[in-house]
Amino acid sequence: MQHNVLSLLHDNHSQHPSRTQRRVDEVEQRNDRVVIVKAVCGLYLSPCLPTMPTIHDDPAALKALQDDIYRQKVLRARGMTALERLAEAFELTNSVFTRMHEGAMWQLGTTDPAKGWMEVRRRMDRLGKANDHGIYTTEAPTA
Amino acid sequence: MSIEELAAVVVAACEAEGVEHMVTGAFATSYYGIPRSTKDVDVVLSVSGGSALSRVVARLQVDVEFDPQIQFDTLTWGRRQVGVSKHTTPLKVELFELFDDPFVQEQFARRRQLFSPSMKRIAWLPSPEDVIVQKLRWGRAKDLIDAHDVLAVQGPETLDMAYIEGWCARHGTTARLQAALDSIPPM
Repeated sequence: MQHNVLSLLHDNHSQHPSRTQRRVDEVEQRNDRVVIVKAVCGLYLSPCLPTMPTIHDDPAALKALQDDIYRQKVLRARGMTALERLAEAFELTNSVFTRMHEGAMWQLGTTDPAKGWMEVRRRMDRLGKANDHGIYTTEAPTA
Repeated sequence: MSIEELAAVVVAACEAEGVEHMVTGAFATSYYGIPRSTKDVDVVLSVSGGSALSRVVARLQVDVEFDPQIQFDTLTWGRRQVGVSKHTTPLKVELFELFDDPFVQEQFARRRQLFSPSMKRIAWLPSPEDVIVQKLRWGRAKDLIDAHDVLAVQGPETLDMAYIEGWCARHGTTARLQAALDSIPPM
């Protein structure tokens, strides 16, 4: 049995337009297979996925959840000394680079750590250029 | 080389050249706010003219490869020199020259000393109020999050809000400050 996800989404859109609007950016049908190209939150929806209510349907409940999560983060930080927070920032940074290195090696399909670090370096360079665009310039200010 | 080792090398180079410094960026926001990862070590150097900065850069050449091109930020036209660690982890080092902007001058004058066991060194950081003012002034998405986090963790009741409000008024960032305060949930 084939499911026509476009019609399902259309029906869903009629019932819950805001929800569908948020979740699905683009739908593409290719041959007989339907592919959800991009969906918010990284979710790939299956045609068989039932429509279930989530907290995103209730803005007030969502805000309360977001506030609660943030409150826990703040209270945790308050429970640490300033030096502990700084040490944790160091630990997080070193850990992130380790994960990036592992990810780069996996993507390249290499077991050579040096190649992995070269790729991380290349990505960081690109990221730096993107982040600095419009913020920093090599042109001296005119008087 | 870990981020704390790289930071220690930069601070040591400043000390060796007799250049006063202030570590900013994620170091300062994590110290006063919610710890987060970073990709660079940001340091403001009290230097006038290029020679002191050049000496610090030269001393760091063993560990950091600097771009010879000086850059300017388009908000305050402050000068910065950027380098990347020569060690495996490509962390960046950004050196900012202290310049005659009234806020930057006051921020540097109010900086605070700390001893970091992780860095095994004494370093200087801005005050939490100055971190908030600076971040609101820059106003990028990540800056606003940082300002919000420092406000939330420190709590407005423990901060010199009159000082913050005064600078925000001068910078035209009062609305950003109010938005940050309004969005902090009750603790």
